[in-house]
Amino acid sequence: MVNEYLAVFIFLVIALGFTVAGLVTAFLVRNSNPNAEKESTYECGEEPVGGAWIQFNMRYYLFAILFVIFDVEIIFLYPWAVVFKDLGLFAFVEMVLFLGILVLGLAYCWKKGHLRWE
Amino acid sequence: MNNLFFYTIIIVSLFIFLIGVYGVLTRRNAIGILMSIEIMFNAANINLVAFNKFMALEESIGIIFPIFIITIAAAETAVGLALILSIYRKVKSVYVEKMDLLKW
Amino acid sequence: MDFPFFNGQLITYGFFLLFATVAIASALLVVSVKNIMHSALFLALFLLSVAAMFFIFDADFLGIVQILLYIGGVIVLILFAVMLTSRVSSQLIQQTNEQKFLAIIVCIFLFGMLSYVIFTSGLKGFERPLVEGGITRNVGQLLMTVYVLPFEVASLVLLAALIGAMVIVGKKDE
Repeated sequence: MVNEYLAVFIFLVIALGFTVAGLVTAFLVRNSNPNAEKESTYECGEEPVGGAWIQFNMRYYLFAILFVIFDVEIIFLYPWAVVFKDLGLFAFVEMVLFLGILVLGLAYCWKKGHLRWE
Repeated sequence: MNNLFFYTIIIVSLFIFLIGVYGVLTRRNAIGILMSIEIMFNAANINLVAFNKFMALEESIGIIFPIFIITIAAAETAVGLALILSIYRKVKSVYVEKMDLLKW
Repeated sequence: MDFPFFNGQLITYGFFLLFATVAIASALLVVSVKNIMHSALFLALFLLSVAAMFFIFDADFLGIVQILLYIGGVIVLILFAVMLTSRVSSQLIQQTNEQKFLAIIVCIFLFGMLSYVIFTSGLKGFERPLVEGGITRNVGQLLMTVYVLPFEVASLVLLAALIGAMVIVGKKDE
């Protein structure tokens, strides 16, 4: 098994090495001359408003939850799709049930207006 | 060799689990506690997958069980963080010693 | 690829030790680092090294699930929660409580107990042959036959989690 993924590991090592080498070279070559103007947050030339650590809107979290729940659905969908041809109707009905139950949750959010961005 | 490998895996997952326990006991931030719980979940998953590889159990049970654990962990994180955020709205804090509304 | 000089399993063991070191180090950083944001990012590194371990243990489907769901989903949730509470979780506030020594004693006690259980269990590890047709196919077959009830219940759990989280967070505030 490891032999099959050795290429991925080599890729990982090279990618890490490339990044670290770039940062180290930059660290060695650059001259350090910080001032307040230079250290401020870069916002495409605009004057930065507030810090980078602002408070986010709570709405983002609702969409993150929806994303995670349907992300979990995907991991069940994948092995099902691999064996779908062998198992036929039963597997299809099971998956329709599974998806139907989850779509109920989506319908609830829709009905309650959580999907709307105010 | 197989035996050594097997026991190394179990000891490593034991270490990871204990790090999670330590995090749960010492973190003040409720989000930090949730992260430590994730570490403990992963230690358990490593163990299950190792049993699947090195023990004669039912076929692939050590793969299917972690899938359900990961599912539950995702649901748990969603609800747990939702609770923490709703407490944060009321108490304006995520530190667990501030969450004492139910204390006598 | 074949290695003429080494035993294949020795190399697997070496890779496992490498990723185990990364996992333990990053887990230690998760529980000890001061900035909770950095803690979340180290958690991502920890989960990635656990995914690498799953690949080493012939469970490639689980490794993909780990990357897809934990690093792609749960870490995003945690980062959002950290950002939403960033007003109070600045690094100037102490992030650990005074139970440090007590916690270490508890951990040493647990370690002694559990390692005693492990080393006296007499379990014998042996290499199992790989399942035919790949793990994903096998998992799909079992999910649709033997474990079909847990599979359906999982969707109910997810529905409950979704609606519960929405009710808790989605209130129109102030």
